[in-house]
Amino acid sequence: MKHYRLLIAWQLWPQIQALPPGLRRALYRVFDQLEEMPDAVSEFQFSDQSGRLLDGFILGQLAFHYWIDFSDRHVKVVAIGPADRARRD
Amino acid sequence: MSIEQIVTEAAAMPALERKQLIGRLLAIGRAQEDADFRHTLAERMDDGDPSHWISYDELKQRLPAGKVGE
Repeated sequence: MKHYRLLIAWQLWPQIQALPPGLRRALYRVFDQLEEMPDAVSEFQFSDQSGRLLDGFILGQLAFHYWIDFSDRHVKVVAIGPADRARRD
Repeated sequence: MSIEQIVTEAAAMPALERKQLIGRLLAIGRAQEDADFRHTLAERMDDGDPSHWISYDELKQRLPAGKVGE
């Protein structure tokens, strides 16, 4: 039985759909871990505008941002962005 | 302080502090380049509409991982 329910924001669907198969498989391996131990996956942390703590991990050239909702036992993937912002135009 | 010095000190940090450092460095770039990013994150975190979320099970059904070599 999974400890947390993993949910992905619908806005991220196109980005995930566009991932090459190899990267998608790697992403799903991380998602499997997120359902079991979301804290263990975290590679960085930061706060939203209201101070809530978000976690994130890097995969390839992408940074995945997620929020652990401990009360509902949900992990919500809320954003995907370039891992290296310096390369953004 | 040079970048090499920063990296050396970061490597010596406890893992949690290093994660927080990485997050804050990423946030520096984000705050300068995209002032709406944190607002967008907060909106999504507060979105309670179930139709705005895809479960991982549904994602795997729609986009199977496929096999190595595919």
